Amino acid sequence: MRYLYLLLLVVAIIVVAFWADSSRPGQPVNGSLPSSYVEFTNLPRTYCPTQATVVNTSRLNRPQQVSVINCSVVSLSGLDLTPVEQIFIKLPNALGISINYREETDRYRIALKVGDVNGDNVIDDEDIEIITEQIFSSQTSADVDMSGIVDSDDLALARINSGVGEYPPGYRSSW
Amino acid sequence: MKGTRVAFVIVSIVTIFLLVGSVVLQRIVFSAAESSSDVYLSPSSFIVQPNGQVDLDIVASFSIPAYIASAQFVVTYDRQRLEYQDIDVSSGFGVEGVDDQSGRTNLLVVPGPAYGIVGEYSGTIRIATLSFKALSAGPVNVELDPRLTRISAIDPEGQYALYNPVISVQNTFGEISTQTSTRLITPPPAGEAIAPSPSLVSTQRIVHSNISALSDQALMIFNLRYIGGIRVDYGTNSQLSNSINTTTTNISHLLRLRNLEENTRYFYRVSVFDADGQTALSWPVRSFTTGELNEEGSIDPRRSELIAVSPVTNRSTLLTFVPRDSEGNLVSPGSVNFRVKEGEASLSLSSSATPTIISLATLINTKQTVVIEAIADDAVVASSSVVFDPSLATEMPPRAERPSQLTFNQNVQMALVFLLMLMLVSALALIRLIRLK
Repeated sequence: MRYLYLLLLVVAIIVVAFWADSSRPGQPVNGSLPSSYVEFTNLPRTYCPTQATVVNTSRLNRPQQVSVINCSVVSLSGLDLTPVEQIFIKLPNALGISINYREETDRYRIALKVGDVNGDNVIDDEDIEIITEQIFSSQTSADVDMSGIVDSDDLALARINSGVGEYPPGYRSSW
Repeated sequence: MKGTRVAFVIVSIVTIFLLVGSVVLQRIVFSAAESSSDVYLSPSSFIVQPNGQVDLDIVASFSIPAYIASAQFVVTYDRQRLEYQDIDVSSGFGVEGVDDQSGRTNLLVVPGPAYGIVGEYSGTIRIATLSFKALSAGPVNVELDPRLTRISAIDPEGQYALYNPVISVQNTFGEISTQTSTRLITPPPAGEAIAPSPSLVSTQRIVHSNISALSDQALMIFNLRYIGGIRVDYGTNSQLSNSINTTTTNISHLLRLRNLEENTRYFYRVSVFDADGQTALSWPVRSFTTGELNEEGSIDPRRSELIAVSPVTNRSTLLTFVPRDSEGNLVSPGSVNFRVKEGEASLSLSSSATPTIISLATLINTKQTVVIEAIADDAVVASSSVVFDPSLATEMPPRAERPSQLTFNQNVQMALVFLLMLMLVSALALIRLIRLK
């Protein structure tokens, strides 16, 4: 009987542990996630893209637009991928990232860098110049964090995240 | 076997501890300190002669060091009174953009070359100095736009955790006058900054104000950010021996300072209260001068006003028709009529004296905009609009809490209590198992 009590205690603890793990910050509350996806983290609070550009380099496919779930998740399940293929994903105003897709249940969590205003996959002085020129404007590509207005937050993000995104090898078309 | 069983239990308990503990510790966040900042213009008041120069510092004070990546400041002023001349940005900042649009100056700065991408700033610092040329005589407000004045600071523990530490802005009031022999407030020596009066824990502020000085009274309109009350202390000298305060808790307030003398300078100080009666904000002392009544003058539509408070949370409000001639002198209203041009509302005359007081009441319970016109000799001589919005009465100001250096959030406290209880239960179970052997 004592082992039964102990077993019940262990089961209860494991259930609590998995519940805590599933609800930690950064993971979508909505439980209906695809089997394979990429989740982007470190997003500005107001940043909520609806589309992502995806390129399958292994097949030299043209870029395709994929819907973004819960502002941060890009599903890989509907992309007709086979292991092992390399794909590149680029969100609006952000640097591109690459993934080596291995199996159907692959899940990735990647920190995103926003600030690429002109879409050249580089965050540099050109983006900063566009932001300063359009300061206080609304509904422009210079609104890096999608807050509705171009302000000092957008300038700060571009300065902090300056750098070069990943490019598909041999892929020279623009994003 | 017994030893094996005990060892198995011990290993299981330790493993569970590590599993649960690692999951719980991932949720632990040590709240890094976030700074709070007051941004204000210094000096808070000034008196200058026409064609004189006015230098105003944009100053920011921080409760604890802030890590700033960029900042924007928007200063508005009456271009009829002031002409923008120049800006001098502090050496601690680099300029990303300066734009003056005749009445509004935008400033965008980043940390100076000595700081790199993000700079640590603390205490009270001068951001920049704006230089203006005084034009025509009269009162002038120089204001920091509370919506667009913003500092982009980062949480040192988080890469993308940008936040705005600005919790209050304070403006400057000045007077351009040929009479500079008497000064109410002595500007501080160059380089010093005046501590702002707004409370660090209140976000109540005056969004808009309008002062109309007539011949025997003054009309003051104040629009607050949240419902609250107003008190005005006034007098002909710095004693400010008279006082008037509003009797309702509202967004917009109209105060009438009555029984004033013609052609007389009056000084006043405005205090703003939260809905719970706590003092939220005090202005520095300001002044206005009453005018004269021109009995023979005719109404000029360009100078006459239909003054209304807006938005209004109550069902009724008062409007004031102030007829003036082309020189700006107060005149008799004559046979002026009033009508509701748009909206569902009713009008009634409360007083036909000068200025004329009109009572306006909304006929519906929902938000609407009512447009009122003053008609004289079949011509519109003044118009105004009033927004009735009962929902604004329920909007309360958020509490701005003082940050602390390092804090355990409530999740951490609950997690530690849970772990301690788990340890206790497991220890008791283990002891019981060993004794039974």
